[in-house]
Amino acid sequence: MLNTTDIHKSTLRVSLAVCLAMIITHYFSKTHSFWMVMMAFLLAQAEFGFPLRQSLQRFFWIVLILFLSVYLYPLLESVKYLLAFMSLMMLVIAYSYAYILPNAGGFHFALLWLMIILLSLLMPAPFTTAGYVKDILVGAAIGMGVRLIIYPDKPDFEFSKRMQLLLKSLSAYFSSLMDLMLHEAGSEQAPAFNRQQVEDLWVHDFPAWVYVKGFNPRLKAGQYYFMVHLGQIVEILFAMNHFAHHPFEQALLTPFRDMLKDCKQRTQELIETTLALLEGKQLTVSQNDFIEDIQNLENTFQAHIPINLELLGISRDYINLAAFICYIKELRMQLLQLAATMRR
Amino acid sequence: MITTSLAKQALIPLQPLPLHHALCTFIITLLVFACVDYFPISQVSIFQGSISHIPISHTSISQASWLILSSLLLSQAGLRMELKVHQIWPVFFYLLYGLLAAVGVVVMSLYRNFGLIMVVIFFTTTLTGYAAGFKRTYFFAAWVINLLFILAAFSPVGFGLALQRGYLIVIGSFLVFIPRLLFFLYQRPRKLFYIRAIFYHRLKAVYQLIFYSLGLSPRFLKFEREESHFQMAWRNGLAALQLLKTNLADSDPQVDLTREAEITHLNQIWDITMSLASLRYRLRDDSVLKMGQNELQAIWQMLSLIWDVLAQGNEKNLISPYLDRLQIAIQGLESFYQSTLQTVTQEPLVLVLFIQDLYALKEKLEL
Repeated sequence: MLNTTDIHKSTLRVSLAVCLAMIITHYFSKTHSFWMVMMAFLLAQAEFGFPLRQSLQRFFWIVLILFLSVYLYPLLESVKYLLAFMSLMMLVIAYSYAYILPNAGGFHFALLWLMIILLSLLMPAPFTTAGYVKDILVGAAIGMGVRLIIYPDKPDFEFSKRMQLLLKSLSAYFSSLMDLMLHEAGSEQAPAFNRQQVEDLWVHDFPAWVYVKGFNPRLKAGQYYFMVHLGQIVEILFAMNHFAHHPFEQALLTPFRDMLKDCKQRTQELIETTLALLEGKQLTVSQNDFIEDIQNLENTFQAHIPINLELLGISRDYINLAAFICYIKELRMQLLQLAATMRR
Repeated sequence: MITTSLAKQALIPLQPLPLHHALCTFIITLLVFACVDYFPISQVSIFQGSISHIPISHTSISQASWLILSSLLLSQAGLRMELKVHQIWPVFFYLLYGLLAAVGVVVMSLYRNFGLIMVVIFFTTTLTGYAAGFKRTYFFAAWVINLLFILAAFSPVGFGLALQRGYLIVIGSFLVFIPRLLFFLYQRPRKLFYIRAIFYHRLKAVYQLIFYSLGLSPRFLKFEREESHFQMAWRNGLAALQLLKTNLADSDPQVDLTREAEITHLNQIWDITMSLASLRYRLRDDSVLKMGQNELQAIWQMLSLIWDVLAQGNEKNLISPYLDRLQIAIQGLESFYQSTLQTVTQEPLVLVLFIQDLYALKEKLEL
């Protein structure tokens, strides 16, 4: 999901690209056609993170469609054939668009193809004169150039910003789950609200560029590693939600109450430390500070709950508490790995 | 729901919502071409001329093309809004888009002053960019309207033809509005069913990757590549879950409590899924799972059938036989664990928790 600043930047880029293309078309183009502006308009809208790769891909597909339309055009000069082709094409494009839609980005490729196909078929194909070819190439250069030069992407900065937002929401969600587990006053509503925040950020603010082939190789390894482990943290929190809602007997939780509160605090401290590292601060993270409480919790669990796994399975409370403590430990380990990565 | 045995075997399964949307689009296409070809709305042909007779300074597109372009592009641009909003009023946005596009195209077709055209195009591009950026759900079609403005600016004509363009675009928006309205009314009571189907298909894909990572298929990707595939799959599943929850929350207020319960139920299934998925990074020794391949395969087969049945929107009682067989499959895994795995594995608790999660999932599915 684009934030306000991103929307300003992308809108300004597209507007500048269109205006520049219009000026060049008016003063320098022999054909005075709309193709230069159209190419600039389309290619200035490449997504964040891999603009050059995506622009080149779009350019390739647009040129391919235009090239094919040269051969298709004579075959479709009858309205009946055009209708048959358009109907089939619309069926395929509409289906693919609706199939992917729930998680598609804004400028879906299917619509781009649709537009170019329609434009290329509804008017004489421009590849027949050099003037049109130049218009298309210049328009593509304008679109790509504006996209790369005006407000160039800063994936390291953007990644850090998004991860900070996500970590803050994860911290709030974790805190609310712990409060729910310990039956703290007023803890019933907070997990649902915080869960919604996490879901929204994960679905809409996900840095998808990290997984794209053309992404900056210098940044890719680190961000890829971070996303893989952060993804596991999000999974852990969703899993913890299931166990936190279990109605534990209060007597069972009493020996663990203070330790769980301590774990909650230490985990939040670790998240704060990771946030500070993301902001570029130089901090030392002592692993021992963040392992001792988990070990105490495990030892207390083994002291109070039967460690024999067969006996463990007798009571749902025992097994769910064991699972919850396992997840607290794994969450801590994942966070320590992230913090250790940030320090390097 | 329209499914065939062939469709089930297709690479991309035919899902109801995309299929019905595609059919609605097909009807719109037929209507548009019917208007162009058989009714005296536009008297000019679609094609300016054959490819061998291209004018040297060709800047105009044919009048009928305005009808085709605007209607076919708008027919797709409003789908996002229809999916996310439960009320009927967003369907009228097609008429609003058509009206805005018509007025803009008429005005842009009349301008001859380059400076003025450039200022107006800059303004409309900026405005439509902000609209599409801030309110993507409602104004995703804004960039389509801007595209038409740009085309009109490069195709100046006289007042009569400009007015005809506007008239054709308005006709086009009606040709889109009527089928979309009928589609909306048809799919409105079914929309939840469609969106549930999308969710359960995506959930099945997540489970496929979970069981793949547990060794049911040969692993040929590196760990981090597998993880990224899994992450993208469960992110898609989460997006579908969000869409389903949004639609449940917006639906008939008289059945609020049932919808609330369903949202809670879906969240619980999702949470258990994430818990089951944790085995792939908890269990360090893959060879342990290789020993339990048959049992895991049996569980996966049952779960796969259950998700398919739920995706088809069938009544819950139809999954009862599968739940019984799932229970047997889980008990099979549990027996195998007790007889063999617990002595072999160094992480017995991990497997115990996995088995308990399977039982928990089965209990949730029974509800």
